[in-house]
Amino acid sequence: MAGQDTAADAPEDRELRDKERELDALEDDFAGVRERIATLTALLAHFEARYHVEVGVLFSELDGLEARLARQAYEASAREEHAAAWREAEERARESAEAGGEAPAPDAWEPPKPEGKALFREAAKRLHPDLHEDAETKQRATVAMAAANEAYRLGDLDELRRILRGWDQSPEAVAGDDTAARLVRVIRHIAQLRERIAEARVELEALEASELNQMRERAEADPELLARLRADLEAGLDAAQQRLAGTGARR
Amino acid sequence: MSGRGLVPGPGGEITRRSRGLAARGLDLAERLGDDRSQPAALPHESAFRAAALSADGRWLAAARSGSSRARGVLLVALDGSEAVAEGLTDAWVRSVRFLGAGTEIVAATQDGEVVQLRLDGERLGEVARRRCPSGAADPPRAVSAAPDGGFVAVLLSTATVVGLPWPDGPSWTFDLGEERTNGSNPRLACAFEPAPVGKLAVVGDRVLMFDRTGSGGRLASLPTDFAAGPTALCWSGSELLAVEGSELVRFPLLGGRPETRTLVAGDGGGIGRAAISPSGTIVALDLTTRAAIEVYDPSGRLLARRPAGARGVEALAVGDDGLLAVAQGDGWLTVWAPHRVDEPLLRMRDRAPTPGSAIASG
Repeated sequence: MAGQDTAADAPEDRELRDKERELDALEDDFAGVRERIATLTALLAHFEARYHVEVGVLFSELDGLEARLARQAYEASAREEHAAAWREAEERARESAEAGGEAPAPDAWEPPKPEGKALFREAAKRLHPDLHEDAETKQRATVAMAAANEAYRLGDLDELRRILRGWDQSPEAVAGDDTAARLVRVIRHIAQLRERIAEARVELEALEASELNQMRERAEADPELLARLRADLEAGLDAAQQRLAGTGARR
Repeated sequence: MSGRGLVPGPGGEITRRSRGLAARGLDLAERLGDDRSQPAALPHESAFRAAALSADGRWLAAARSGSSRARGVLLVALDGSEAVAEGLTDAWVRSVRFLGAGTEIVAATQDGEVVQLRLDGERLGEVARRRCPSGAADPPRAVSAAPDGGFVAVLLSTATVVGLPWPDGPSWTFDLGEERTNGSNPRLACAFEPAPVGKLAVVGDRVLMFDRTGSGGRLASLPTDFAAGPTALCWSGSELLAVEGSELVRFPLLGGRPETRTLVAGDGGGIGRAAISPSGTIVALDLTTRAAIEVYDPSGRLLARRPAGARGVEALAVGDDGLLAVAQGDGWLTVWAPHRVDEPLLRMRDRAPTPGSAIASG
């Protein structure tokens, strides 16, 4: 974007080139963090579906049985503490059933390849709505970025290229102004971008610190972990079913 | 053990809805115990996210973050022996600082606790522990400790500051959101540092001064023109130094206008982490697009340039003599001595966490 300095350049032209180089570098940073967020989001979406199928459904089933057992205990004793335990077990069963209901079905998915990551970084640099000030452009960018996110999640590189081409050919992609106006715009853009990078880093850290990501990393480091959890939950289910059967309850 | 809430975007939606079931899976995994036959120290498992140098430059504290198995603090001797002592914590450590002089450390953990660790023989043992008022619901982002060791301040994820007279005394909290001037950003970037004279300074889009004892009453509030918020802060006499991007700003707290100096010339590119030495005599900046760390004096003179490696710099710490510590997300710790340019003073990669391990060479 920025050319070579020449002796004939006006000071504001040199300043503009310096600022444009700084802006370029910040845009690279921003795109890099957004790409890490998108990659981790895709990893988490995939793991969430797998975790739900292998482990989540068992938690949900176990919670349902525990709620029935708690209800029986209350009906047999009519004691207030058993009523509280029943309400608590019902709430837990409702929560785990809801969480399971929201989880998507597992799909075939492969981790993004370097070419896909590069394309997505390019999309984040050009399309991310945080990078645009004009309301109409921001709105268009929101739609385009959502499409780019989905294409990246699906590993559809052709679609990513198409979205980028469509954006570049739009009239808004053409800009022209005098040096002073461009300089002011670039300086403001730099300040805005620094703020967005700080926000994106916080977002990335929060995703990395989430319980689901902790679980994902543990499962990745220990391939048998989910199987062990499943075995333990199945044993718990058997025990709960026997307790229900022992009290003569119908399943 | 609990992750953060309030994450925006599709990733935030996934982590929100899965939070309960994932937390139960983690608890169950803890009860069942780790399978030690599995490789325990994959690179992504032992990322470092925070680091601090002791005031005398003899020790480096590095906080692990990664999987739930890789948590706690490493204390590394910088006397050439590379001896390592390990202290385990219940949850990930988000931030770590030395408490006064010597080998005592405070670590702020993901579950909202501040733990004091002390080198005791061959390991870091817990000495004291305090819980932030909102606990795991609002995890810490950063911790700082007064030079006299009598006060610890914690910055929470929701931009709330917690003051903790250490190790005991009534705590106080202050919501920085009430002081926000840009209005739109709920996650205010800010840095904070206790002064030796009984005050705490917090710099976001305002400079705020607090009485660090008692109720934490606010003493002063000065405007700044920061766009994104500072990444490092330090007291230097009656001035407060703050780094934002490639600029060093001096706030004269006894009156006068702030003075700004740009440290990186021209196309410095993106600036990531930053650090200021305890007395404000050295500033270190992570130049992300150059994959380098540059060390400056406050006048803007470049003192040293160090390679930063391919993976991102997660934490920087710099001493008044230019000693520079770099912690990276892939588990590497590097320490550069001020006058050695050929190779680092120390370069080591985290090992598998080993509960109760002794100080080990290398």
